[in-house]
Amino acid sequence: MRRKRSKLDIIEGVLDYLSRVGGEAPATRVATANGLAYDRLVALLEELEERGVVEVVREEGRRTVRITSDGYKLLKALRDLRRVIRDFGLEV
Amino acid sequence: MEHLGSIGGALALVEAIAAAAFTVIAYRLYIVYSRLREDPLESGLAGFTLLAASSLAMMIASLASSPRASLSIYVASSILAVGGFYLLSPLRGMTVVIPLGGLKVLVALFDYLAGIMGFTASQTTRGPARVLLAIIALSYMVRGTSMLGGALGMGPASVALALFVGELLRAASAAALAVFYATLGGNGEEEEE
Repeated sequence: MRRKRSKLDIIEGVLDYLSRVGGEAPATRVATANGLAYDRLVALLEELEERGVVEVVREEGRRTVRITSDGYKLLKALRDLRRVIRDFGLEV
Repeated sequence: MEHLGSIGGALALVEAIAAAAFTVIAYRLYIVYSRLREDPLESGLAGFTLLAASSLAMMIASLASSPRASLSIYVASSILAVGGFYLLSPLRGMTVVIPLGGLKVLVALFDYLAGIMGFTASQTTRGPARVLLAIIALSYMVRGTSMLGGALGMGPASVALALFVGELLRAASAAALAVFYATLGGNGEEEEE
C-alpha cells in the first residue's frame, strides 16, 4: 500500500522533475508529472517562490517554473534526508 | 590503569564519530528548515543538535583526567540527551511539562530520564531508528542502574563493568544511528509497505 505523500515529498517531486527536464518547465507539465491539481501546484509554487527555491515567469497567462540554485541545494538536502524525515516522523 | 586510558580513548573516538554524524544530519535539516520554515523540521534540527552535543560531551567526559570534571560532563551529556529525545518524541507538539511528579526518586538520575525519553522517542520512529533509539534508551537505563548500584553498595568492579557495557552499547548505537542516517545520501529510497 502506498503511503500518503507529505508536503515535503511533493516539494521534492516538483524540484526533482524540474532538475530532470533541464531546470524549467510549464506549470501545467509540472502539475501533471507530479499528479497534482493545478490550483494546488500554483499555491505551492507561490510559497516556494517566496522562499527563493523556484522562479515563476508569468507570460500571456501561462506560468513557467524555473528551479533556482537554492532550489538545487534544497533538493539535494531533501534527497539526503528522505529516510531521516520519514523514520523520525518529521514530515510536514 | 593504562587499559582504562585506552578504553576511554576508544569510547571517545566512537562518541566523536556519533557527534560528527549527528552534526551532519542537523546541518542538512538546517538547509531544509532555513528554506521551508516548517515546525517539525525545527524540532528535528534542535533534537539532532542536542544529540550531537550530548555525544560531544561524552567524548570530553571520556577523555577528562579529573574525575570531578568527567562526572560533571557525564551528567551534562544525559541532560542534553533528554532535550534531544524530547524534541524527537510525540511530546514535542504539546505544551505540557514532562510529568516528573511520580519520578521523584529518578529525577536525580538523569540517565533514567534520558532512557524514558529515548523509549518515548523510539515509539514514534520507524526503520532502524526505532530499534537503535530503543537500544540507546536502554543503555541510559543500564548506565543509570550501574550508578544507582554503586550508591547502594554494589562492588566497584561490578559497577565499572555495568557502566562499561552500558556505555559501549550507547556509544555504538548512537554512532550506528547517526552514521546510518548521515550517510544515506540520495540512496535512502522509499520502502513502500
